[in-house]
Amino acid sequence: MSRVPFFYRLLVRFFPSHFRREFGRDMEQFYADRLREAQSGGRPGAALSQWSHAAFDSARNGMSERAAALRASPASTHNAPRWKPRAPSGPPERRGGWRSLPTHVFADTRHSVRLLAKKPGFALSAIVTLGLGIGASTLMLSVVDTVLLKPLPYPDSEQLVGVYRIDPEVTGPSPTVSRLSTLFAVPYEVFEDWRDMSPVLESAGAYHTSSATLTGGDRAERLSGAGVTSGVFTALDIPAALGRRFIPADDEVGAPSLVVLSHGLWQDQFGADPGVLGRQLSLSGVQYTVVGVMPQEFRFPFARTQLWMTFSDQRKTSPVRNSGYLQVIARIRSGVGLEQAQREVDAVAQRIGEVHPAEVEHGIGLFSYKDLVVGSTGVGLLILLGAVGLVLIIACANIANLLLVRATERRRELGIRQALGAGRFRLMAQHLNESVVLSLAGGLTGLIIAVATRGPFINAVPGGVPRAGEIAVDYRVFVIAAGISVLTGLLAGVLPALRAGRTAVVDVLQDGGRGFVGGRRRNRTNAALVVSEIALAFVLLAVAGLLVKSFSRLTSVERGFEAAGVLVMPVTLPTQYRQSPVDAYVFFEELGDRLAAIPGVEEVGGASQMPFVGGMSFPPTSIEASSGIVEDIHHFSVVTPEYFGAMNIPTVSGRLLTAADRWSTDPVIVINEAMARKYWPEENPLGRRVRRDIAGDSIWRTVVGVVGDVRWNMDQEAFPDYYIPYAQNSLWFHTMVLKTAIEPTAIIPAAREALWAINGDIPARVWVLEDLIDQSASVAGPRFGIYVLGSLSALAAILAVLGVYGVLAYAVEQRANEIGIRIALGAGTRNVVRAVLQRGLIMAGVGVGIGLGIAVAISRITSAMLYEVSPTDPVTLTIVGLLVAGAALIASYIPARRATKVDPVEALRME
Amino acid sequence: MPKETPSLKTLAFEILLVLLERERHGYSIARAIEQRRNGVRIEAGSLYRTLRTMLRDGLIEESEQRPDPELDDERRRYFKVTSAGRDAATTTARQFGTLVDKARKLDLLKGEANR
Repeated sequence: MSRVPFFYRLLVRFFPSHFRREFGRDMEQFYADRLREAQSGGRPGAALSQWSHAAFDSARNGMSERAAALRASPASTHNAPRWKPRAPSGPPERRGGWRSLPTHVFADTRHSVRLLAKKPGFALSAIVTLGLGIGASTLMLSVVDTVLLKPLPYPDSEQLVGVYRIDPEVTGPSPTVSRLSTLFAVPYEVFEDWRDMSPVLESAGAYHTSSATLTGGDRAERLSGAGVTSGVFTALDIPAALGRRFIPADDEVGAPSLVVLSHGLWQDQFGADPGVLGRQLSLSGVQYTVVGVMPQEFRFPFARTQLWMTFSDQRKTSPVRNSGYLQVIARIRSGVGLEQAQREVDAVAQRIGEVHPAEVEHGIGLFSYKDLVVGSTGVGLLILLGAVGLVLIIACANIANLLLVRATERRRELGIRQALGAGRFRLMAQHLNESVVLSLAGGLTGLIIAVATRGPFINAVPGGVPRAGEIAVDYRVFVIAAGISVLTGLLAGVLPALRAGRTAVVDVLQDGGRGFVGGRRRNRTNAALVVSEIALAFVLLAVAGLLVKSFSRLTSVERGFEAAGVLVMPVTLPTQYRQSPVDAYVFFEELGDRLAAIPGVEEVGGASQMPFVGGMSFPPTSIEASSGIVEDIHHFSVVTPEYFGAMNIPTVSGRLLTAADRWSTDPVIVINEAMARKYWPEENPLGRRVRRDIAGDSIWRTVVGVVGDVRWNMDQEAFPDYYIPYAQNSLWFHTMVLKTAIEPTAIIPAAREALWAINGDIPARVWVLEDLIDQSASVAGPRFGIYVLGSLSALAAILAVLGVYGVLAYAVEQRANEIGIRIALGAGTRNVVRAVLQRGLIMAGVGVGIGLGIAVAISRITSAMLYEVSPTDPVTLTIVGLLVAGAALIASYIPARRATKVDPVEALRME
Repeated sequence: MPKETPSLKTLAFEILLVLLERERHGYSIARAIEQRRNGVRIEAGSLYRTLRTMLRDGLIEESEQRPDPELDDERRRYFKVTSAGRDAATTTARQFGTLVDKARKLDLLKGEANR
C-alpha cells in the first residue's frame, strides 16, 4: 500500500476505527486506482482536483459516520441484521490514547455547540465581544505585518539603502533613522562623488520630489512627480511595464528631457494608450518625451507619485556643494552587509574630505531603505497594536468569567461524568473545546469586521500609512485571524478548564446539585479576572485622557498669527515668467491687485514660504551676531509688506517692511524674536546685518525691525527666522494670503477667476488656512490617536464594567440563602446594599491601583505621544480613576438592589 | 407484489444494478456508475458507507478476494447481489416505474426519448 500517498491514508482517518478496520484498505486502494487513472489522463491539476474531491467526501462522510456511531446506542441496534461489536457510544469517556483524539474533538464540538445553542444570549454576547476584540487585533496585526514585517516589494530589497550626509556634530556618533531631521540631503556634485567613488554601492540614484504642471489639456493639471537619475531604476530593479526606464546616457549633461509615467497616470490621463510612448508632454513649460510606463506596483518615492523626470542640466551642473535637496538610494553589492558597506563608505567620506577640506567633518550614512520608508509610523502602529491587544485581553477575561460562571452551573454534570469514569483531562478538553468553538465563531465575526474596516481605517490615518498600497486581503489575514482566535479560545478557556479538572465528585453529589456551590476560591478567581480587566481598562482610559489633555494644550497654543478668515493660494509660475525677476514681480503685483478688488477681501499679502503651506529652505547664512560673524544654515521667507497685516503678526520693535523698500533702495530685513534672542541676546539687533551665502545673492541686508514669533508646527517652538521684502528679491513661486471679512470659502471661486484672468494655464489651488492647520500632521495625528484610543478605551471600559456587574450579580445569586438568612435575622436593606457595593468598590480600587502602576511603568512610551503634559499627570489620572470607580459603583448597584429583594422564606426553603 | 417497502436510496439502487451485471470491486462499481451517469463523481467515502449499510442489511455480500486483471495484481474485495438484494432492486425498480409513469402523464418528460 506504499503507493497510496500519505494524504489519502490521512483521509481515511476521518472515519471511525470500526469503519477503518472494515474498509480502510479498500478505500486506500480506491484512491490509488482513482489517482492512477487521473494521472494517466495527463491533464495537469487532475491529481489536485482528485485530492480535493476526496478530501471533501471523506470529511463529510467520515464525520457523518462518526455521528451515526455516536447516535446509535446498543439498544437501538439489536435489530440490525448483522450487528458487529462497535465502538462504545455516547460521549467517549474512557477510551484513552491519542488515537481517539479526533473522535473526542468531534464529540466535544457537538456537545459544545449544543450547549451554546441552549443559551443563545450568552453565546451571542460572547461571540460579539470576541469578534470585536479579534477583529481589531486582526486589523492591526495585518497592517503591522505588511508595513513592518513584509519585505519591500523590490527584488532583494534588504540590499536597498538610503544614503545621507551626516554631520557627527549634529547627530552624535550614531545617527538613527528615528531622527530623520539629522540626515542631510546632498547636491548633485556630491551625489556624483558618492556614486563614482563607492564600488560597494552597486547602483546609486539621486531623486527629489517635484510637482509639475501638465499643460495642453483642457485645464492645467498639477501632478506629483519626482526627478530621478537612471540609478534609481537600476537600484529598485523593477522593469518597465511599457517602453523603457532611464539609462545612464540619460543622466549626461545635454541629454534630452524624458519622462516615465506611473501606471495610474497612464490609465487616467492617457486611457492606457500604448501609443503614448514618444509623445511630447509640456510639464511646467518644459517639453518632455515619454519613454516608458512603470507597472502598478512601482510606488516610488511615494504611492502618490505620478511621473518620473530626468534632471535638468541646470541641476546637474550646479557647482554648489554645501546645500542640497537630493535624496540618494542605492543597492549594496550582494553578499555585503550594511556594516561592511558603511565601513567602505566611511573611507570614501575621508577621501572626499581630503579633496574638499570644508567637508572634512561630513560623513556618509547608510540606512536600511525599509526603515526609512516605515519611519516613525512604526512606533504609532505598535502603540495601537498594544492598545488593541489590551482590549483583546480584556475581552478574553470577560469570556473566561462567563465560562467560569457556566462551569459552576454545570458542576453537577461534571461531577456525574467524572463519577462515570471520565478523566480530568477529558473534562478539561471539553471546556477548552467550548471556548475554542466560541472564539472561532468570534474569529469569523472578527475577520469580517477586520476586512470591512481595513480600507476606512487606512484612509483615516492622517498623512497615510506607508506602504498602504501593498496592504491587501490575502491568506496572511486569515492565518492571523485564525491564530488569534484559537489563542483567544485557549486563553479564555484555560481557567474554567482547570476548574473543571478540579471538581471533587463527592462534594457535588452530596450537594445534590443545588444550593451552596460557591467556595471562596471560585469567587476569588472571578474577582481577580475582573480586577485585571479594570486595571487594563484604566490604563487605556488614562492614555486616552492624557491625549485629550495634550490635544487641547496643542490646539490652544499661541501660534503667533491669526488664521481665522485667511485664504492661501500657492502659485508657481510657468517658465515664460522665469526669464527675468521683473516678469514675476509684475505678475504677482497684478494678481495682488485683482485679488484685493474681490468684495470681502480686506488685505492681500504674499510669502515665498509660510506656515502650514509647505516648503522651507535653509541656505547657508552669515550673521553679524554679538559674538562676531556666525555662519549657519538659516530659514527665511520673502514677503510683501501686507503679509504681516494679513496674518496679524505683531511688530515688536523697529518698523515693518513697507512699499518704500524697493529694488533700488538699501537691502533690508525684518527678523523674528527668536532670531533676536539667539544672536543678539543682550543688545538691540536693529542695524545689524545678515547675508545669504548663495550664488548671485551675497549681499548684506540690514535688520530694520523685529516681529513676533510664528510657529511652523503646532508642536514645535518658533525657530529663528527672517523676512526679505519681495520687491528686493522677487521669485517665481509665491503664496498669496487673503485676509477676508466674510466666510472665506465664499471667495474661493472669485480668487480662482482672478488668477485665470491673467493666465489660464496656471493651476489654481486655494485653501482655507484653518483647514490646512487642522489637517497638518501635528494636529491631525494626535486627533486620530484620540479617536482610535478613545473608542478602544471606551470598549475596554464597557467590557470591564460588564465584568464587575457579572461577578457581583453572580455572587448575589450564589449567596441568596446567606443574604436571606441575614435579612431574616434583621439585617436592614442598607446593610445588604453596602456589603455588595463594598465588594464592587474593592475590586475597582484594586484594579485602579494596579492600572496606575502600569500607567506609571509605561510612562516613557506615553510621553512620546504627549505635548506638554506629564504622562503621570495627577489631575487626569485622578479623574479617570474616579470615573472607573463610579462606573464600577453603578454596575454594583443593580445586583445590590437585587440582593435586597431576596425573600428570606424562599431562601431558607431552598436549604 | 411483495409488501410495499421504502425504496432504496438512489446510490444503493445503482450499486445493485451494476452488481447485477457482474461481480465488481469497489472502484469498479464507482467507475461503472460514473460511466452510466455522465458527470457524476462517486467518491470512496460515500461508496463504502453505502456498501457497509447494504452489507449490514443483507442486500449484497462479499464473494471472494481476487486481483482485477485490468488494474494490477493486488487482491481486491469483490461484491455480489444476494437474493434479498435482487428483490429489493425489483421493488425499487417497480416503484420508480410507477413514479416515472406519473411523471410522463404530467408531461414532465415530453420530448425526451422513451428510455
